[in-house]
Amino acid sequence: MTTITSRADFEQLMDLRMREAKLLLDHQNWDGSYYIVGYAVEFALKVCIISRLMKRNSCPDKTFVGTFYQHNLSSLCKLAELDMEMAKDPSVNVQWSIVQEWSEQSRYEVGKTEQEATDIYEAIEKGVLPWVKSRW
Amino acid sequence: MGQVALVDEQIADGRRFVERFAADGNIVQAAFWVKTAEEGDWFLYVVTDIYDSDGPAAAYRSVHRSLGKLNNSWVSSSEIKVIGPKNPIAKDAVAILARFTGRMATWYGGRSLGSMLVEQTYLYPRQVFTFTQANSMTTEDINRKLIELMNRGPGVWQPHHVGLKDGRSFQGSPISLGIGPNQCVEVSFIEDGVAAPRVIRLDEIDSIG
Repeated sequence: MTTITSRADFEQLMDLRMREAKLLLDHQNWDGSYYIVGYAVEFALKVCIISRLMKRNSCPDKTFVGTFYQHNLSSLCKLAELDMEMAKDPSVNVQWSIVQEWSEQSRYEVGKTEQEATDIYEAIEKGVLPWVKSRW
Repeated sequence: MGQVALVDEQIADGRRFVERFAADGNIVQAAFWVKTAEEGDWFLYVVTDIYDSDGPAAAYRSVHRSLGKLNNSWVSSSEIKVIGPKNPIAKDAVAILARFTGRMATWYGGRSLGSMLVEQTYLYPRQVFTFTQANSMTTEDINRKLIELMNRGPGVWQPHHVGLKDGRSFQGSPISLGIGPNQCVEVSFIEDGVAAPRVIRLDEIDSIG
């Protein structure tokens, strides 16, 4: 077993969660696919944050580190300094709105529809992930 | 930590957005600002049928279209969350609105909506998103129309049909805008057959044509 700490680990994990989400989507497991796919965005944003940190010459404060280890996508997007650009960019802002709804609390929810699971998967695969990756 | 208080500009621009979104043909069942206990941030929740009928992508496309029509809004897309009427949060909000049928906004003191823990909730009254007349206009549309009518040069006085949100109407022509009690924008009209100007709060006007 590997403990995830590096940028490369997060990248690998992001790809893995996307594959798992697609598998669940193809097998009509809407709740599972919805829950899993959000983590791909979390890891993509964490890669971005690590890249930003590597360019700095100072230690981040405690709040920064605390937020990094949470799953809130809006907070991670702010930490990655992408929030303003994301909200204004018409090529991705609709997809980001869909993705922003995701919470790790969805593991306690049942009843996601095919439309909800498909919309969030496509918003991530075709919109948010390529956009974030282009800023790594 | 999130923003502590909901500011007047957010309330006003949230209303502008909800009016615009409804006027753009989206059925809205409730709209409210909520400060979540978990995140501590304020979000504008909009309960709309399009979420359940057409899915989140279609709903958010509509949100961005409507938001794009507003100039200099204090409300950003990242603050807006759309949910369908079947969502337990939506069901609670609609039930609260059913209890408070007045024309004023409601501060709800409950600690949860659906399974979401909340600190504060501000619900817009139904009239913001429920239009009773086919030709209802948003506040922004009304502002534009009033300015257009007031900028017409001197000439033959021409009354216009002014519809109010309580269902009343009259024939009048706008002559000035001002600030009334509670910092509300008021419009003075010359009313057909009446000597004294009639002063109406801007947010009470439903249509003018």
